[in-house]
Amino acid sequence: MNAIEIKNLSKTYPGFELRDINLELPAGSILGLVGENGAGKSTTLKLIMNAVSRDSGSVKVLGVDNLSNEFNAVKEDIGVVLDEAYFPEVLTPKNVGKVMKNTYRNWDDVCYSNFLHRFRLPETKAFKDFSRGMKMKLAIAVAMSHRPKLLILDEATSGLDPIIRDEILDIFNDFTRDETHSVLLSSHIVSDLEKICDYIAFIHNGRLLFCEEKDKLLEEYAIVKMSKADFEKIPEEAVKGKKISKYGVEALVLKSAVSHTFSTEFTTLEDIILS
Amino acid sequence: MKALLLKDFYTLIKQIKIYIILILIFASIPGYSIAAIAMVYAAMLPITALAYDERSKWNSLALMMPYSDGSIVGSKYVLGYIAVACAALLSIAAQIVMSLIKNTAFEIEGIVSVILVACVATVMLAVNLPFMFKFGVEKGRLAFFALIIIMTGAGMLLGDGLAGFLSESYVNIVTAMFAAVVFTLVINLISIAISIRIYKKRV
Repeated sequence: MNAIEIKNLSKTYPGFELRDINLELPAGSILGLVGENGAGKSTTLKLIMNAVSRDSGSVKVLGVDNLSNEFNAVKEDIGVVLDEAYFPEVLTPKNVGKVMKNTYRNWDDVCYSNFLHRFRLPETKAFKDFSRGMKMKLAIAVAMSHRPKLLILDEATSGLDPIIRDEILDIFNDFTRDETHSVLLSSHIVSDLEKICDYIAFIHNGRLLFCEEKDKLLEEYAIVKMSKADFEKIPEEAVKGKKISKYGVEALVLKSAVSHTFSTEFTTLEDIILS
Repeated sequence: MKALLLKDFYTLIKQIKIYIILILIFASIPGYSIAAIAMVYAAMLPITALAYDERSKWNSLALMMPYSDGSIVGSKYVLGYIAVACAALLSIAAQIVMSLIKNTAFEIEGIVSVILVACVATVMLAVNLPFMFKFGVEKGRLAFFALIIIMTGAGMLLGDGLAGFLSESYVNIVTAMFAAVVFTLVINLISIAISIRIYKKRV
C-alpha cells in the first residue's frame, strides 16, 4: 500500500505554477522532497493536506482521498511539522500539551513529556522565547506524540545544530521500522536526505524532475574528472551535467554509458541535484 | 472545539489579562452604559484571538490538524458568546446585589436592558467575523469600519421615521427583547454559515 499517492497535481499562483506532480510514497519508507527555495515543496505538502485548493489532480493519503469527508479522521494519523507555522507565541509546552490532548484522540502524555525531556525543552517557558531550533523540536515532539502513521515534515531539520539533527534523523529512521509507518520530508539540506531517505523526489521550478530510489540514483550516476579531449569521447546523452575549467572537465555521467577505461568517482546526492 | 477554545483562552489570559479584568470590573459596575461597554468589548475578544493566531501563523498549522472547518470557525463565535454571557451575567448579578443592598424592588427592565445590549454586542460580532475570515484581521477591521459608516448613515436617514413608528406602536419592552433575541439568533446563524463558506474556500 502507498501512504501517499499523487496524480497529475497542479496549482497556479500568480508568478508560480506547480504542474503535473505524480508521486508515490510506499508505506514503510522515507521520501525526501528536495528542491531550491520556492521550487514548490511547501505547496506540494499543503496540497497533500488539502490546506490549499488545487487546480486539478488527485491526492490519496493513507488510502483516503483528501477531498473526502473521511480525510479529517485520517489527519489523526498524520504528524505534521511546518516551516515557520507555529503555536500561538505565548503558549508554553505545557499549554501546548493540554491543547493537543483535546485535539488528538490518540494523544500520549507520557510520550510527549519524554520528548520534552529528551529535547531539553522547558515546560513552562513561553514559545516566543524559544530559538528556531527549540520551536522545531517542540513541533516534532507534538507530531510524534499522537501515534501517527505518517509524518509530513517541511524543513524540519533546518535551524538545528548537527548533533540534534542527527538525533532527530535517528528518530525518523526508528519510526519507519514499523512497516506501516512512512515519512515525507522536504529539505534543502541534501546531506540529511541522503542519510535517511529511501526515495528522492526532486522538484525544480514547480515541476517534478525525478522520483527515484536513492540507492539506484547513486548507482546509476558517477562523477568523472578528465581532460577536455577525453571528455569529448563520452557520448553526449550520458552527460547529465558538467563544469568546465582550464584544468579539465568535471562531469556527472550515466555510469553505464561510460567506458570502463575512464576512472569514475562515487557520486553524492548533492552532485546529482546540483547537476 | 474544546482544544481551540482552550488555546484562545490561554492566549487571551496571557496577552490581555488587564483588559479582561477591566471587562469584568465594568460589567460589575451597576449602570447600563458601563456594562454595555464591557459587553461590546467582550464581543471583540474573538477578533483579538484571531489577530494572535495570524501573528503566529497558527491558521496554517490548524489546517494540518484534525479540526473541522466548522469547529475552527465556530470556536471563535463560541468564544464571543461565552465572553458576552459572562459580562451579561455579571452585570445582572451586580444589579441584584445592588437592589438587595438598597433594599429596593428588583426591576425586570434591568435584566431586559442587559439582554438587549448582549444582543447588540453579538450582532456586532456576527457582522464582524465574516470580514475577519475573508480579509484577515487588519483589512477586516477596515471593511468593518466602512460597513459601520454606511450603517450609521442609513440609520441617520431612517432613524427618525423608525423612532416615530416605535413610539406610536406601543411596543412592550419585553416583546422588543424577544424580537431582538430572535433577530440576533438569525443574524448569527447566517453569519456562521457565511464564515464557514469563506473558510472552506482556501486560496
